[in-house]
Amino acid sequence: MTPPIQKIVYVEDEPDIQAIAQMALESIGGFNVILCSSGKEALDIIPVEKPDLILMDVMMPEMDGPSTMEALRQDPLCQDIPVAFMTAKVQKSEIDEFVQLGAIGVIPKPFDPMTLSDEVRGLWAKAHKD
Amino acid sequence: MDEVVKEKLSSIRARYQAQLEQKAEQLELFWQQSKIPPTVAVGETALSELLHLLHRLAGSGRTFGFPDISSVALELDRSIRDMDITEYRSDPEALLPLKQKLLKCLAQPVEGDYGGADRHFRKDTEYLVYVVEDDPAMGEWFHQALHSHGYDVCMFRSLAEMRERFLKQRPRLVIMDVILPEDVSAELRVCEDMRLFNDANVPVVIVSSRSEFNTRLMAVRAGVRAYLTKPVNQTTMISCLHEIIEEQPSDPYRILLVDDDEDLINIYRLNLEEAGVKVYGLTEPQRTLEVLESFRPELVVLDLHMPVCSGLELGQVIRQQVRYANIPIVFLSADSSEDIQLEAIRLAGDDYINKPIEPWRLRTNLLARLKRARMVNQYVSELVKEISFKEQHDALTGLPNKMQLESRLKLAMRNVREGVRKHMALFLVDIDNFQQVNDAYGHELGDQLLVDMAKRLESSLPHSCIVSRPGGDEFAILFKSMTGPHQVVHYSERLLELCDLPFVVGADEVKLSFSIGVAPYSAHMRAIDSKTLFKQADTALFRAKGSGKNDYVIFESRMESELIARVTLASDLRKALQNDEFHLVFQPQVRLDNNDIVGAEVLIRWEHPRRGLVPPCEFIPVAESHGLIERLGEYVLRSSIRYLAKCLSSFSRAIPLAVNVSPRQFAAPEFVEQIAELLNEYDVDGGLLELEITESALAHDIDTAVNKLNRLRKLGVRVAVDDFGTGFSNMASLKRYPVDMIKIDRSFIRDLPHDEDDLAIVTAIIEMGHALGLKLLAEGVENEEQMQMMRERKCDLVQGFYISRPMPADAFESQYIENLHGSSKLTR
Repeated sequence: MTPPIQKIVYVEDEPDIQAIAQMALESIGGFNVILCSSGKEALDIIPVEKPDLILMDVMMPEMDGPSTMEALRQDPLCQDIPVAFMTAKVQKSEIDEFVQLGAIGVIPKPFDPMTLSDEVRGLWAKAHKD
Repeated sequence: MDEVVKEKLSSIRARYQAQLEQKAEQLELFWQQSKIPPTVAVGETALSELLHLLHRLAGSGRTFGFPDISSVALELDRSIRDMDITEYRSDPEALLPLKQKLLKCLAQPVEGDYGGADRHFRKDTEYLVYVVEDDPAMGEWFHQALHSHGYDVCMFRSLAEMRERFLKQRPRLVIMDVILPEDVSAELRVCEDMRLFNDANVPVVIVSSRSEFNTRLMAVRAGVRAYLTKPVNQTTMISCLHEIIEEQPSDPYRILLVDDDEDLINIYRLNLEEAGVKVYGLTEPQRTLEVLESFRPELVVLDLHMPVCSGLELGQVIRQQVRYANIPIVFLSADSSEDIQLEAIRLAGDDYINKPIEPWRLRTNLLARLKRARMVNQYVSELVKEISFKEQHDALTGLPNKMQLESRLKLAMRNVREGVRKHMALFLVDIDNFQQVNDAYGHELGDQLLVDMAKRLESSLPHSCIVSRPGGDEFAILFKSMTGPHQVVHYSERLLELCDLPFVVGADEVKLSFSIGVAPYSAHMRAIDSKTLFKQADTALFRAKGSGKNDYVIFESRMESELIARVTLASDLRKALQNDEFHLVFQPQVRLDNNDIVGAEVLIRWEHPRRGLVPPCEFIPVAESHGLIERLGEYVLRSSIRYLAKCLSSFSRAIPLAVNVSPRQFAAPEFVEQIAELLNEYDVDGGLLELEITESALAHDIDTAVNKLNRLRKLGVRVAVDDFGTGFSNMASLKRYPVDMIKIDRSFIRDLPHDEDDLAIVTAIIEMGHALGLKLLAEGVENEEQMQMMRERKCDLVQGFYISRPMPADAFESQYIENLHGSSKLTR
């Protein structure tokens, strides 16, 4: 039985995308969403909030998605929280690269606000099946 | 859709839309600034800002309901990234149409499906595709490919599973492999299912690894819409699906209509545009060539009767150019004479259609032709891509080959000259002793090692540098941008570290080392072209190899003159071999117990026509690196044996000669046969010949070496181990070789009697050699004291300046051979 997702930390530096994704995840998906605007902020918030899932943009200034994840992996409080990336680059090789880093999957951008929550659930279920 | 959600969506969308104008301004600004060469730092920053902006637009547009923004921004982003930076700077105009298109999208964003959400709510099945695939890996591929192109996908492991679902919910299209393993009466069942799909008007695409006639025929009979063979190209599959679902290709067909009747053109145009075809209507035939070039139609329709020139003439003008041969030409005419029709087809056309024709009939005819023409063009362009890829890449590693490296190198050098980058550098990396790995493990594993090496290089170097394999075990790495010498050192060291981890070859782990030659390039070196730079890297590499391997050498200009000298010397050497510019000299070898001359070492001298005498230490390494050493070695062997024969016939006696044999010469499989043939040819006894072979030549392949030595011994030829003590000398392995003598290297004798260490070594070598039953000869004996020390330590033979310098044949003969009293004594 796959446990349900309740809390998601969403890391994204672009306010527009933040807004639409938050709307999609909360209003359509029914998740509790906590927003972070940078990798650094995420490192402060995640250990406190202990979400079920972290959703993270790949390309962010200063600290990008993969390095944020790497830093989270150093923290015993956060290292087991699944991470999914969002990116406009959906080359197979890059997806593989992210998965090798430990991400449970990649959601391609531009995403569809109506189906974003389903995609998140799909990745979640797949990760739990594996 | 939930009203609240709808409202929220539209307010977010409005906010996004409100910012698009500002984004357009940013685009213009970055576009202008990014053209500035980065000597002014703003250009570099602006370019990355520009790419970042495009990336963001591509990643957001569709989410906010403006799919055009996403697709155009993505296209522009890719086009800029595909270009080299210089190309972009010198000709950003090439991208202008795309940029204009994006600006238009930003100014007047077309509201599309709300990110596909509306369509998702409107009708679930619009983009729903069912895939039947029993191979999980292949299934994953389908899912990924379709999903990333906006299709909703349902995967099924078997036809039966899918049929069940099909009855409940119909997809837009079905993709399946023809025969799945579990289906026993597969053919029948597929046909049955096909009837089900056909009745429901759901198109079926077959993706199969089978290509035989019967399967294909079955597919045709079953009414399959497309048949793709595995491995499938993703682009081909997606464009095929698009065409079936949308009933028109994603990239519209282009057709050129030439007719002097504008009304007719308009009617046809209306009708064709409805089917998604782009039509260029032309009433002035004289502009045809120009339109062919700019509009690039896939089909041309010509009216036969026009005032300026006839369609028949125009058709011939088009056909004069081979590059338009792939464009079908269809004639339209009210003149239905069969003769004219035949003539039109004979001269230029592919078909002839009688006017008047109902527009829909014309449309069907033309669409069918367009579809085939598109297929041909796609096939050809894929072939061209494949061929040009193969032409520019190394088949084994998939890395760029020498040809591509050269063009990239030229571009990178131009960038430096034009100030786009400050410095660049070309690295040549060579695997030390790769030949030995190849010999020991075979070519297949050797090749695998090269592939591993390629991967290791690629994965550990920055993406911006180009790793290529110009040939053999040599890799070239082009660093397009370098900040300065410290970076060259940094990367050289990093490359050397790459061999810290052993390579896996077959079941073994092999530790390798690299030699690296680096040629840096900066703007002030404008006189140097790419070929010269490559040679400089090569010279540095040669140095690195010479300095004991596992090292890097950075090219310096003083190596230049050495390089030129070496190249000149090599070509002179080639001529010298043809013109017989060499002669032999002889250095006597003397028995210490009775001062008898028992032999002489043969040395080669080159009398250069301009330079005079060239010392062997200068030309032997050149001969080695230019593949001339074998010919040179053969020359010395043949001349020595011929000289022995000459002595025998002139003086009825000869002094045994010791001839140096290079490792490569000795490694040749036919080496022993060659000696036997020469002895036979000149009728010389093998006992008069001694071969001097270095220990490293013997150590290469011990079994083969022992075998060769035994065969030489049967010929009566003696073998001495040359330069003993200088390499990885190993007394233990020495006992395995059937050799006769050890020559103690001159470096141990030089500092005698003062150097006690050397004396200890020499003493030990003599004792151990004697214990193994070998004769000992000390090289480079230069004074009486050294001679005396060797005598005291019971060394058997000596050779050196103290006894005699190497002497030309006539002096050697008069001093040692013409003596009729039998044995030759040292006269000192």
